Parts: sequence; C-alpha cells; structure tokens
Amino acid sequence: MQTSVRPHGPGRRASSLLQPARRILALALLVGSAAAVTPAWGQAKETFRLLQDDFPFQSACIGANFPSNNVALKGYAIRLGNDAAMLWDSDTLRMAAGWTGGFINTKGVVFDGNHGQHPQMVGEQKFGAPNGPGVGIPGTGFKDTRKEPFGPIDKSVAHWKGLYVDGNDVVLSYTARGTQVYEQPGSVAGPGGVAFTRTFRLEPEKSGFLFFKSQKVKEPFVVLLAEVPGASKEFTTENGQATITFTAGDVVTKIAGTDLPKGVELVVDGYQAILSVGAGVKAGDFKVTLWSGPTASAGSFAQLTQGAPKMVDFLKGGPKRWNETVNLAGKLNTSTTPDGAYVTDSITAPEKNPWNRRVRFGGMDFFADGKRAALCTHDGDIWIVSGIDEKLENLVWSRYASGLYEPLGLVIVKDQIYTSGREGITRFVDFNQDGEADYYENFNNDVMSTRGFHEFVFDLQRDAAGNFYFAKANPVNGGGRGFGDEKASRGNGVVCSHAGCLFRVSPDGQKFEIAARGFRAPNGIGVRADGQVTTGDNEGTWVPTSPINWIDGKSFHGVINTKTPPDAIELYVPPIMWLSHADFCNSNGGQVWVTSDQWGPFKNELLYESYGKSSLYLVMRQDLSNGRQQAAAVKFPLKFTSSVMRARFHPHDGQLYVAGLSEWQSNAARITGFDRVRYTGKPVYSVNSVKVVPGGVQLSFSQPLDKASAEDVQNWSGKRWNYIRSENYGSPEIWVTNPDKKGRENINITAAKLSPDGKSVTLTIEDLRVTMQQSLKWDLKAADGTPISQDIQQTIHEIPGQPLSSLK
Amino acid sequence: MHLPSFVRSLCLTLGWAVVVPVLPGAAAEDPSQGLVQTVTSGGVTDLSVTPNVWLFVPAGQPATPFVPAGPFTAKWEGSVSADLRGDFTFHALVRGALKVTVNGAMVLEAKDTGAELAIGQSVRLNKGTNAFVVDFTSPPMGEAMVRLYWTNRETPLNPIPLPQLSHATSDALTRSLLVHQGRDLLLENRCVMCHSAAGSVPELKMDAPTLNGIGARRNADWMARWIQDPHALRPGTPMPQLFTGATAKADSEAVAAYLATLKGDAKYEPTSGDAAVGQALFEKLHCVACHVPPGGGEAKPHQISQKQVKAKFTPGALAAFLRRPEEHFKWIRMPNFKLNSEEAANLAAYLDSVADAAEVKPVSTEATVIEQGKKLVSTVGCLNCHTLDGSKNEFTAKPLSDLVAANWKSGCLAETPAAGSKAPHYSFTAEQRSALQAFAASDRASLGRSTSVDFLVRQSQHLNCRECHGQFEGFPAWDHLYGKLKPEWAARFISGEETWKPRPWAEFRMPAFPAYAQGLAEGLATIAGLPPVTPPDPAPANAAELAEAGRKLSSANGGFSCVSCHGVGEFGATQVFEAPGINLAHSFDRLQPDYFQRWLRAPTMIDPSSKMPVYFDEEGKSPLPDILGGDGPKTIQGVWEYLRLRDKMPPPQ
Repeated sequence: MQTSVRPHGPGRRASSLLQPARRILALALLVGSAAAVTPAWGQAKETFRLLQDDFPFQSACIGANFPSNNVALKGYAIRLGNDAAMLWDSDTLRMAAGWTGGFINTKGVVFDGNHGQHPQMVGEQKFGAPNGPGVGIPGTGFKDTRKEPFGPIDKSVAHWKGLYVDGNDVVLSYTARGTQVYEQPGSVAGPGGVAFTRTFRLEPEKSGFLFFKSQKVKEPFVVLLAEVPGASKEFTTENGQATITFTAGDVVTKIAGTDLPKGVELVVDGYQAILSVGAGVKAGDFKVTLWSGPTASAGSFAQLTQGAPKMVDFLKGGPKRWNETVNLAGKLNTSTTPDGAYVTDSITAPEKNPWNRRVRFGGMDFFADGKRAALCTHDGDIWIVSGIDEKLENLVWSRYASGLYEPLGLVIVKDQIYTSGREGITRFVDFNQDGEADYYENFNNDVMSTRGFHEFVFDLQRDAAGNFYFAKANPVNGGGRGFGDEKASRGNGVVCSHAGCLFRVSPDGQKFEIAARGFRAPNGIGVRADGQVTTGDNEGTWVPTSPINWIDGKSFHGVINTKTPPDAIELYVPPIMWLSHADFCNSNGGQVWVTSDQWGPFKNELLYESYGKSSLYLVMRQDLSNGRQQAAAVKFPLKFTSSVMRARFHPHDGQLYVAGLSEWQSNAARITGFDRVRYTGKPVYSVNSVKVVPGGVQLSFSQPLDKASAEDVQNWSGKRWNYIRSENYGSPEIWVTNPDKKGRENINITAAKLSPDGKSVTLTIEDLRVTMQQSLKWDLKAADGTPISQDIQQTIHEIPGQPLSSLK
Repeated sequence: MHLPSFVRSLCLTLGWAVVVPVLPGAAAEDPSQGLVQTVTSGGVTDLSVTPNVWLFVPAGQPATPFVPAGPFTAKWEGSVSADLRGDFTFHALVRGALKVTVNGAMVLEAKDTGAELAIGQSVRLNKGTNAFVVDFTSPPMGEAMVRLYWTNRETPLNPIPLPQLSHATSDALTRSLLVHQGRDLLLENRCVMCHSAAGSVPELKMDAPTLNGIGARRNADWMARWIQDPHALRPGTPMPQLFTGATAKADSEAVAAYLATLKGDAKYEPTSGDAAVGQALFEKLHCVACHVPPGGGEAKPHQISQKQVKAKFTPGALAAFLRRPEEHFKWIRMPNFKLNSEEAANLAAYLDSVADAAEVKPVSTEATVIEQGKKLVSTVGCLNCHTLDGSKNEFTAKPLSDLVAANWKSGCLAETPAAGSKAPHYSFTAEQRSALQAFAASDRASLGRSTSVDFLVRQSQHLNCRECHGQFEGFPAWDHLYGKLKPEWAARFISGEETWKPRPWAEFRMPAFPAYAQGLAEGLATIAGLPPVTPPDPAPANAAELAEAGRKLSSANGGFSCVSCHGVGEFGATQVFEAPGINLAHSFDRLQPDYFQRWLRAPTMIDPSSKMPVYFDEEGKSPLPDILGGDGPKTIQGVWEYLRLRDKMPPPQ
C-alpha cells in the first residue's frame, strides 16, 4: 500500500512559484511528513511502504496512459517534486511520459504481489512518447533496428550508462552517437500549472591535438521529446526562446528550449517534437521545458521556462539520506544436526525498520574485510550489515541503495557491489564514502525484458576468471502453465529469445552471451572457480520435478518455448539428478561449491539449496562413462530462519552463510532470513558418497559403521519411480516397471555388505534399474553407537557394466 | 482380482451391471490391500475387506448388512508393513473396547476414549509385513466407533496408509464376498421389482426410465431394436431381453409402436450447436471417464459407447437429456453437469457428429399393432420397473422369499433362455450366477439392512467415481475423500445444490448425483469411522483470541502466507500461481476437523502430490514462535477458529 504524503498541497504552491521544485520537496518532507515517513521504532505499520516518497525513483516495468500501449519495459519512474513525475525507459533511452497528480500504483509481483500486472502511472499524463528508441540518427525517424522489441537499442546509436542520485535529484547518463549526455529531469510550478524540465549536459569526446583540443559533437543525433497525435503545430519565439506549440482541441502542449547552444534546435516531424543536436555542437548545458494544459493557461508557459539550466553536482555524491541504522543481536545455535557437527546461527534481519521497507533477501556477498556483507532485496533495496563475527552481538544494518528492479542476485568484486535484476547487471559507486550509493551504473543491460512478471532474473555468480553468470525465467502464462501465449498470459508478456536462458557476461561487462538454454524458473545457480555452472529449476511445464542441471557447453536443459531454436533441443542434457517435489525439493534455490577448509569434510563438494523446503543438501556425484554424471542428495537436517536460496562461504571464517526469502510456495517460517551454517569441529556422522555399482548401490560414510547394524537389511529400504517430462505442469510419479501405475514402487534390498574399513556399505538391489528417482533410507549405528538415520534421493542414468541409458 | 484375465475382461465387457468383487475402499489395482474385517453379531458372522481400522455404527444399526443390529464384535486381521524397521506407536479413538496386537504382542488397549486419544506403547515393526490383529467389542448399546492412527519418528498422527495394510485371502472370505456380490447384483438388476422383498436398502426403490412421454424422446425404430436385444446394443445393461422365439421381432416392434404413441407434453426442438466447441467441452468434462472415446482407441470395459445417439434420440432430445439426465430416471448413473442450453447443444452436436449414421425407419401406426404393444407392456413385466401413468400392470412374479435357492438356476438365471420361457433373459455370466446363487443360499436378511458404507462401496463403483478421482489431474484421489468432508456439505455438493465451486480454476466440474448424494456423503464419513451427522463442535472460550491468531497465521506478513494461494471470502488470493487453493471461507463447512488437523500438520502425508507446504517441524512445532508460542496443536486450532468465522472471516493482515 502506498503511504505517500503529498507535500505539495495548494497552500504550498504559491511559495514554490518559479522555484526549482526539488528543494521545496525536501523541505516539505521534513516539515510535513517526517513522522509518517519514519515511524518511531517499534511502531512500524503492518503494511509495508512499497513506494518511497523520500527516494527519487522506482524502477520496474511501468505503463503510461498514452500513446497507446506505452510501456517502459525497463522503466524508471522519477519523482520531480510538485507532485509530478516522468518515466524513463533505459532500454530505449526514451522519456516515455510525464504526468502530475501522483506517482505509480503498486500493481506487480514485488509490490502488491499481483501476477500479470505491472505498475502504472497514477495522475494526469501531460506528454508521452511512443514505444521505440528515444534517441536516433537524424532523418531516420527513430527507427527501431532491434530484432525483437526488447532489450537495449543499438548501442552505436545510444547506450545507457546509468543514473546518479543526489538527494531528491536524479541524473541520467547515456551516450548518443558517441557523445556523452547527462540529463536531469525536473519540474517547475507556476500559475499555469506544472511544467517538466529536461536539463541536458553534453560532454562530447575531446579530440584534436595539444592546444587545439576541442569538445564538439561529432555525430549529430536527435532526442524524441513528445508525440502529440492529431495536433496542429506552430513555431514561435516566446521570451526569446524557441517554442513549439501543439494544439489539439482545448489542450495545448508547449515545448521550449532554454539556452540552446548553436546547432541545437527544436524541430517537429509529423506530430513529434524533437531535439536535434548537430555536428559541431560544443559541450555545455541547456534545458527543454514541456507543459500541457488548457488553452487559457498557455499564456503562463513562458514564465515557466525562465531560469538558466542548472544541473546538480552529481559527481560529488549526494547527502546521506538514511541516517538511521537498525541495530540487532544475532542468535547462536538456532538448530543443530543430530551429530552436533553443524549448527545454524541467525544473523537477525532488519524485518522491522524505521522506513517500514519490506525485506526479502535475494542476493548476498561479503566485503573483503569479512565483517560486512551486502544483501539485496527483491523489493529493490540494498542493505549492508556489519558486525559479522563469532558472536554476532552487534549487527548494524544500514541502507545502501534503493529503487531497483527486482534484484535477485548480488556479488561483490573488489569491494564494489554488483546486482542482477530485470534490467541486467548494475554496479554501484559511492563517491563520497558515506555508505550510500551515488551512481547506479549500467554494467551490462543486454538482457531482454518483457512485461512478464515471471521473467525473474535470478542470482549473480562469478568464476575465477571474473566472468559473471545469471539466469532468467520463462514468462509463464497466467496460472503458471505454458509460455508465451499472450492471450493466456493475461498480459504477462511474450517469449523473448532470452527467456529461460543462462547468461555469461565478460569481466568488463562488454560481452554478453547465452551460456545455456531451456530453463523454466532457475532460481539459483552455482559456479565453480573453473567456470563450471550448475542450475536448479522449478517444476512446471517441461520440468517434471526439481532438477540439478550440469551446464555442459551450450547445453539445453529441457524447457521448450516458442523461441527455442530447434537445433538447441537436440542438445538436451538430462540433469545429474532429480529431487522429488513431495520430499526433497518443490522449488529450487541456488547451489554452492564447498571452497572452505574450515567447513568439515565436504571440501570441493556441491551443495544444493531448496527454496521450497528451506533445506540444504549435499550432492554426491558419480562420473559416468559418457563423461556426464549422476548424483544423489542427502539433507543437512538444520532449520533456517527463512528459505534457503543464496549461499556463500565467508572469505575469512570459512563458514557457509545462507540468505533467503519467502515469496512463492515455501515452508519458510519468515519472509526473510540470513543464517550461518557453522561447522563445530565435532565428527560428522553422515553418508558422503553414493555410487551405483553393478547390481546395487555403494554408500560411504564419514564414520565407521557398526557391522551388525549395517549388514541387517531390515535397516535399509528404498523406493523408485519415474517422472514424465512433458508440456504438462510437473509430473505424477509412476512406477519404473509399470508406467501405468502411479506412485512409488518398493525396491528389494537383498543384502548389505560392510567394507573392511567399516565405512562403505554395498547394497544388493534386486532388479536394479535405471530410474529417474530412487530413494534409500536407513536407520544405522556407527561403530561407536551413534545413530545414523538418513535418507537420500538419487537418479540412476547408468549402471556400470550396463549400456548407458538414454533416460530423458 | 485373481481371476484369469480373459474371464475378467469378459465379465467387464458385459458392462455396468457386473459387480466385480472389488473390496471396500481398496485401491482397485491391488486387491490384497486393506484388512479382513470379521464382524459377529447375534451369532452371525460376516467377512469383508476394509481400508483401515475404521468403523462407525450408529445406535440401533447393524455393523454390516449381513449381521443383525445389536452388540457385536469386530476383528481386523492382516499385515501392517513398514518400509524400514522402526518404532511405531498406535493411537485410537474408540467407543467400545479395542485391542491392537502386532506380531503377537498387545500394543494398545483402549476403551471409550471420548475425544482423548488413547496412546499405546511403542512397538518395533519389522521392515516388510508384521502380523496385525485388532479386536473390537462394541458397547452394549449406543453407537460404536473406532479410529486407529499411528505415529513414528517421521510420521505425525495419521491413519495407517492403505498401501501399508494387506491381507491374505481365505475360503471363508471368498465365500462371504461372493454373497456380497450376489446381493449387489440383485440390487443393481432390480430383481426385487418383480420378486418383491421388504427392506431398507435404498436401491430396493431404485427406478428405471419412465415410459411417460418416451415416444417424444426416443426413436421408435431404435426402441424396437433395443427391446428385442438390449444386450446387443449395450452389453451388460440391466434391461433384460423379454421376447425370444419366432415372435420376438414382431412383439418388440409392437411394443415400440405403442411406446411411440406416448408423446407426453414435452416438446423437443432440434438444437444446433457447434460440434468443435462441444468436443472441447467433452474433453474438459472428462466424459471419457464413463464413455468410449469417440476418436477411437481401446475402450475400457466400463465405458459406454455413444455411437447410437443419432439412432436413439429424437431431434432435440439428446440436448435435453444432457441438461437433465435425471429428469425421467431419478437413479440414472449419468450425472447432471449443470450444462446451459448452449453447452448442451454444442455437446449434442459433437456427439451427433461422431455417432453412427442412423436411418430412422418408421414403425407401424396400425391400431391393432399398437393395441398389441400396449397389451404386452402391461403383461410382460415392463411396468414392474418402468412407470407409465394410467396403465395397469398385469404381470406378477413370486416374491423373493418364495424362490428357494435350489431354483436359482432357471428362469431369469438360466444360462440360456429355455424354449417358451416367459422369464426375462439377463445374460449373466457364470460367476454372476454363482454369486446370485450364493446370496440365495444365505439368510437374505441383508436386504432388510442397510449401512452407508455398503451403499458407498457399491455405488462409488457403479458411478465410476474412481475413474475421475485419482485418474485426472486436479481431482482429489478417491481414497483421500474418506473422512475428509463433513457429510452435510458433501451431500450438498454431490447433489448439486451447492452453487459455490471449490476449485473455480478447474475446467472440469463436479457433476451432480442428486439421488445418490446423501448416501455417498454419509458413507464417506462412516467408512472413516466418523458419524454420518457432524457432531456439535462448540467454539472454545478463547475462540476470539485464537481466531485473531489464526488470522495472523494466515497472513503474508509474519504468518504462513496462506493468502498467497487461498482466498478468504471476498479477499482474493494474493499470489495464485501454479497451485491455487480453495477459498478458506468455506473450509469450516467443508472439512472434518480431524482431517483439517492432519492436513495442516502434514499435507503431503495425505496427498503426496499436494503443493501445500509442510510448515511444522518433525516434532510438530510451528516455525512461528511469536504466535501462540509456536505450539503446533494450538497453532492449528488458531487457524481452525479463524476458519470457524466462515463468511465473516476478516481478511488476513
């Protein structure tokens, strides 16, 4: 629910006459609404503040009222003061709309939870520009040269660089045909109403030699200002300023340039008002003012255009905006494995905070000092927590950035934070070292984004070479089944060629490529130092149950949508294992490789995180004759504060830290959590290896077993079943020996033989078969009498000595 | 079934009247599931197979139709299996006295527990089967009740899952089941319509299609062929062949000619629908659960062909029939799908489009022929089953009590019709005849007794309930319905009176079975040891406080986020996706409290394919210590008290 205050009531308007609105906005917030914005500690409202009056933008897929179907797919709704806002689309470098009387509504998956809708402007729209590029080559009519109407426009024409925040101001940064452009959106209020300002700063590249160096625009470009269909147009000079007037009925739209340098002109093409920047234009600032209103008020427009263009000093870093911190104590030993080898500690999350922001962690990494971590929330914030130490007694949470488009991945490189979100990868810069980001830099925005709420961008990981990896979900139809049927999707977007792909981005952010295809909702990935990537996926169309995918070249992992290249389907690689919906994993999290020497006996093993079951699993792999693998999983029986979704090993203490959120189906207790899985040094009593052998399965344990207990088949049992991979949602479980029977069939374990060292048991299984899922369960004693009761699930692609299956 | 497959398929080919002795509650594919239940009362013993140690016998009623009412003992025998050697504890709610014995050792003894569970001592079960015997003695008077549960380290309190109970067959069991089968056949074939018998079994009063107005609804030519050889047109129909010999064809045509004159008041206007839309509806409604797939493919024995609809129905009558199948035949098996006229027309158009071409030949309109037909209708027994206003039935047969067992081999039960016999011909199989003979040799008193479990088991088979429930995605499996729904709500829902649709997202729709609803609803409760009428469930003193906690528990803000998938009255689910949930404002009316508690505690124990998360840990603790102290049972009760507010439930915060 939006709890925004509206500081610009009629009573204030007189005093803000002709003033740049920003200062007034800041003042009004201080005077009029401080209490509402920062409720006293402990009195946080039950409903979250989904939108923030005291933060200048919110990014999302955002719709405007006109021109028809006007949607900024990577939109930034920017607060301008005077209850005015503009909508910027960073894919098309287009100012899509300007309006007064409100901001945006809270429709959408991370706001009110709505599936299928996205935020829409609220208020009275004053100008708009149609979908498509907002910067172009003169004479080409803002032609869209993209193969699909998604993702960034041709970089050689215009390229998004990022945005600066400074107090309540935002400065947009992009290049237009090689010229660096900064642009500050703003508003002014006067007797005729509110006008919109776009203050430009051109910084052409320096060229020439020595004393003859100059900064001049080399390649001319055009900027789309507005489109007013059906209007009559007129050019005038008002108060010495070039002015375009569009008249449509009783509504007049006026656009004027102030301090336009030589070579910069306002022109009209059809119904479009265009800013034309010619070759040779020198570096400098100027502004364009847009206003729309009834004919009767048009006379006041000239007054609104007064005042020299003025841009905030955005490179120095703005004032600190979030002065408060949330100070909490963690809790140690919140749960333990039965052998006491692993315990969880809770790093208490700032669920209650002075800003009443909802906190749902979607990404996490540590700074080099190890005392601090950064966590992004799906709700669009970045939090920094300090005080990560043995006792966790003094956790201090502070806010670092906000307004982000659904970030679900975060990595820190050389103490610089990167997030992945629907917009791509964003890198953050804090110029003045006040602990808050001043520059939200576009590191790579090549990923396409449609309106689909389910096109989540998941996770952000790096390999040792510095490449970045993240994944993107498919835009499922309404109700969750199938992809890309625009009608069935109820406006959930269409399939773009990035839907359901894994991406690799070069260390410098310049190269973006599809690393693998065929995913549905791969909530988490794992990247080993050598660049080996694993992913999870979520049960649904083409995904019978949760898989662990092993990325192998440009492999295809099974989910077919309308953009799947036919030859890609041939590259299907079955997962190294499946995990059953009912018991092991109904919804995937990430994976992490054990890189730590301080975390017990599992170094170099893969861990799997289950979002839906809030559980952590050890993945035990076995090499196959074709170079691929099959695997089994066993749970670490620990309890987590929320789901288990993003895990990393700490750079110094070597322990595993796990962040998670609860948003879709999960048994997670709280909406977010940040836990440490700490190895206590006590001996581990667990299976640690599962290998299929001819006629059975060999399991190895971390401790010697009691022979009588291990060799008694009464203490072992198992079942097996298959799934059907199809267009249907998920799959029933069916018998391996009779596909017509639903459910799981028992397997007959006829013998259990303990190895001489007491650490391995070989089970003889009658009629051992290749199967998508086999479960084994045991209730044993270690040689020292410690009980070991565990169960595993595994996938059998190959039985050594038998031909490899083509199990798919 | 342990019958040779060809015998079985032959039996099944004969269609819907064939009652294969599938065991009560047992999953049809595995007849060894369930336990043998031996009930003894008044010196009479009855054996059957039950899905679990569940029993509910209302005061004054018999435990099964085969024993008299009054004090009784019941014994369940078979095996209980564990998939791993482990320690289990049995729990019971009982009215009467119960003893549970596992592998020869008594592990639970309980008597008149009231609402407090009796808890047995922990017992180690071997992996695989364990001998399992439960003895029950009913109270001297009043209702008798048993509900057995178990727990172990990883299993919260639940009934023993059906696949973990099994039994061996025995001669005594086979003999007993043969009598049961004979009784089912007798009822289903409406034998008592001619051979009268008093009794309380609902099916004794079961009707057949009325002949009033039949001439407006059915083509006479088809009726003639139907009367002459009903089994040729639909194998297994309970409609007997009445005419044999040289005059069979003429007699059949005469009857049809007469019936064709019975136009009644109803007018059928030909409908025109869109066959393609009708086909989509045919698929959505899963008509193939009971009907032969029109597109070809192998038909299952129970599926009825629709190839004759053009020959059978007069123009417009098919659409009218689809809209109200029960209009002229109250106990018809075809349920009412609440089709609107457009849907019915589309469906009829589709069925017509895939039906065999029909050449509708005129029948005789000669007065003498019609008069002959009218006479036959009154004299050959048509009116024993079929009603016809203003007609006098002149056919009589001996009452059932006069038919001595030795004679149940001739007449209607003759293998082939004897020359000149006036007995109707039923095409019973040898197995069916022996079942009927076994019943004849019994005391037959079971026709005078009825239980809702008996009705449920027989009719759920006849109505093909399991052909949808457990077969198609989105349907609750049939076995999961035992003990799930409050009988009052279930009766409303099955009868079609309930207008609210629990699963509005489903393309299929639960059709109405008005004549059967009450019996099925009560049976679904009593088969699980619950009373046929929901007992009072007064709110506790702190209900308001608990309900407020339940409201918080349901919220997305610090609760389980039930509202992500479940709506609460007008308050829509906030994030319905993949797995929409049923609106919670109806849950209190729908669900048995016992089921609700087990469902919330561990939904995948009941339905492994459920998308509903398991929120409680192995010890049953809630993960939300801030609400009701994280106490599992209190937390579940909090949600129940919130649900109790029904349509007054405030939206979760």
